[in-house]
Amino acid sequence: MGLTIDNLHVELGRRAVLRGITASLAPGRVTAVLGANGAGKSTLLRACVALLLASSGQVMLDGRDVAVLPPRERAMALGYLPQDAAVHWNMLVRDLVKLGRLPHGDAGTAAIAAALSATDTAALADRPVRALSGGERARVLLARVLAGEPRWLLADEPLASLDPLHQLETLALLRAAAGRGMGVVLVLHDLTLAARVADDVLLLKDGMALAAGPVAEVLTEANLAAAYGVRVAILAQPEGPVIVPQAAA
Amino acid sequence: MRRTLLLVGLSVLVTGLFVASLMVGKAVVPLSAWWSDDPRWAIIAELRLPRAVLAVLLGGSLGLSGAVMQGWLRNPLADPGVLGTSGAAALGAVAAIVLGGATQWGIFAAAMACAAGGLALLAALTWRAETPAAFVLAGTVLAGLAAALTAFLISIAPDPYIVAAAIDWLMGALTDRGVEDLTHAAPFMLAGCGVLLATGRSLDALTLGPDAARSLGIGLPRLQAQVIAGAGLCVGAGVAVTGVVGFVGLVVPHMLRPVAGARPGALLVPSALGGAALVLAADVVCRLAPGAGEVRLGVAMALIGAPYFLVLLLGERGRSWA
Repeated sequence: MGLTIDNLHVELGRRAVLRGITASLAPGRVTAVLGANGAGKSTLLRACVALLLASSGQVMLDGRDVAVLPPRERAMALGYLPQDAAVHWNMLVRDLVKLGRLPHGDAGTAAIAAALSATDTAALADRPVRALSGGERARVLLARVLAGEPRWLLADEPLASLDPLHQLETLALLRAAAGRGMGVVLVLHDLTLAARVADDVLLLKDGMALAAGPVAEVLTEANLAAAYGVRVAILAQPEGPVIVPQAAA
Repeated sequence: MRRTLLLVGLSVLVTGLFVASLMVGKAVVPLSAWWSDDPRWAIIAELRLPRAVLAVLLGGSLGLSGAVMQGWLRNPLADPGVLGTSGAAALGAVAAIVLGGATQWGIFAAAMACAAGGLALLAALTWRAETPAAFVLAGTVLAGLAAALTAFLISIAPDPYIVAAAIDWLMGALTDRGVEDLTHAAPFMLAGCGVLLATGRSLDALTLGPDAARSLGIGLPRLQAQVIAGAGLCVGAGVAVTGVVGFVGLVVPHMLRPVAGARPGALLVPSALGGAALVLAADVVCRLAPGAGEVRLGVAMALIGAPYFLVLLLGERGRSWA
């Protein structure tokens, strides 16, 4: 059970972006999807929420193909936070977060309040989105997904606009959500943060899964050199490993 | 609370302007005449009442269409005209005036047939399109083609009276529109409004972009079909009975966004009411023009709309419009 990716192939135009990825993601755990630019991380997330159709293979949620799930049921189960999420109108933060309740069709007052509180954005609720800093906006967009109370949260680079403090707070929030049973799948670029937050890592290279499994098994110097083409130093620290790129491999 | 106040305020405004529309004209008919045997009652019942109801429907459907188009295209400069439907309907009407008998029903039927043809062409051009930009481009092509054919038809008109009738009709007006026009157009406009009013939640979700909207369970092909069919019915039927009345769909959502909020779904009903108020007010002003004739509604709307946008442009320099 959980989110199972079975020999997934996705083509964009005539280009094969994902080429036979197989992985099993477990609820209650944080899985980091890592890989170099163009490795297929964002495409994998989009395919997991059925925004892209597989040319072959499938993504199964609790044994059911996500591509054929009713859209509302899929939306309630899988919360998706796109990369560089745009907000096209200058809405109030409260109205924006409320959008997370659309699949439920209810007011969801308690869920919205909890999402605002968890992302430290309750004080911003009555401000227009364009009055926010990049970091505040990123947290509000995360609150929008959390307000939907999905069973799975798939976020594409959710830390991109955040300062270090809010990066750590957001990771703690996502860890806590996983602790409550939510499956969390994150596309990340920061290897150190990935090593500290994730239970599991899915490492992609050229649209294929180079390695998958627990952090300590996947984030090795050899795997990272193969995935990114750089030699890295993995330094043990009390808070967790620090991964420092050294030079081209 | 603020939204309730806005809706009540706009409803009162529409009601007041509706009553004014019944009273005001070349002959002012006071309220006392409405409940007596005053012969001027006929002016109200037979001339002004259908005209005022048509103004409410036209303004409401154009204002609503504009709010929906702006939400769908995520662009505050969009208006119902971008689909090219109004140009296609105008082509049909001018064809009926120049080539046919130009009966009321003939003009309406030709305009609606061309509007439907325009929508079918739009659907054919964009059936695999993934972005709204494709619709804007296809709509621009359609509008350009319709404008060229309309000009061609006018150029081959057999006599100057027909040319004058076509140009007069193109300017857009509620003058002399009666119960027959109302009964032709109202079912299409009401059906279009019904379809458009159901798009609010989807437009709200689209604020986050197409991917996020789809991940929230919104079917974008269905939304696209709703927008095209709804706006096409509203604009096609409107143009078919009144000629081309521009700016309503563009200006009204702009005017109301600071009060109603930027959430697209929250703008729909206020824009319908605001559009009705604007067209009623403009039509009353048209009737008060000095002399025997009236200013054309399409001309009046352009005279209101263009300066409004100029003021907006000067006031909003360096700031986002959305």
